[in-house]
Amino acid sequence: MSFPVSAGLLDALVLAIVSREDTYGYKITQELREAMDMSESTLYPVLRRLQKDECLETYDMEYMGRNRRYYRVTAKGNAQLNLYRQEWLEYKKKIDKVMGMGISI
Amino acid sequence: MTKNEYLAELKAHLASLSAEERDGAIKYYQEFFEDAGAENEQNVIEELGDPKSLAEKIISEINEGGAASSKYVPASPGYAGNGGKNFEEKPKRNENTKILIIILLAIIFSPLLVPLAGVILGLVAGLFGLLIGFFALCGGVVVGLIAGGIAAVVMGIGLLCSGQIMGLLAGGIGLIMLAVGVLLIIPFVWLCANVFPPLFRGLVNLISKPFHRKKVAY
Repeated sequence: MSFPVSAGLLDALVLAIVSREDTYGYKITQELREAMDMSESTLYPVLRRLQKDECLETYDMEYMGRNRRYYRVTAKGNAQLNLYRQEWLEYKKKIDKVMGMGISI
Repeated sequence: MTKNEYLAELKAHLASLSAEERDGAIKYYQEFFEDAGAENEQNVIEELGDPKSLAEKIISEINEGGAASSKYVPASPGYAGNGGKNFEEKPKRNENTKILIIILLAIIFSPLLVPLAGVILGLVAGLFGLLIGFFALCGGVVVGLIAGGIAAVVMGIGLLCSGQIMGLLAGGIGLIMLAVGVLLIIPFVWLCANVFPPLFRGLVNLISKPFHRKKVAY
């Protein structure tokens, strides 16, 4: 992909994925990869940062005889996600305008 | 290299971290391997790169203290992230002078502001009134024509029954009014559906715009 992904955008995507359904690291990576070319080593620092910023929290659940760490969006994370969505809309509108992608009023 | 060898090496390279940070990272990558399945083990190892550089990546992230955090952080009041400091400082100074200028202007022009606010409020109320008035006018014309037409027809029949020929005229006019009234229902409904809602929405947008701007700006 010719467009680099910023840390903010990555945060937003991860929050959006986890907000749909509590999920675990491997699955988040797979879902992100549907949208972008991303190394498997990229996600852990993002998850850790979001956790530290109290946007995500974790809990462990047993899966096939082993533990799996699930991520869940906190109230703060949800607020942040809404903010990101708003920002994205603004950003998209501006880029679309310059790119000449359709008419926007 | 096997999964266990990879994880052991990663752990060794993460020695400088606190036990909690190190265990968290190791646990994450161990689960990652397990979720990917044994058949993908080599792919994952290849994808993650050599343990040393992965460890460096993790350590640098942790030491930065999340400096790569989003730049949107300052926009949300309830969000006390510690990131984005690097590019936050300069605009902040500009923002401060901006706020100072706004306050000064507000003080200088305060004798003007109150009447001005009144004028704007009056204008907005007037616009709303105009819109509602126009709506009522259109509705009134339709209802008036139909009601008047019915009344005229009834009156005409009454006059005819009492033997006055003028009843025919009254009845005819009544029927015409009724017909025009019924016909006008169509454009009125169209107005209700297509013109009033956008006009109303436009007006509301116009009013809410200055408030909205402030919220989005950062």
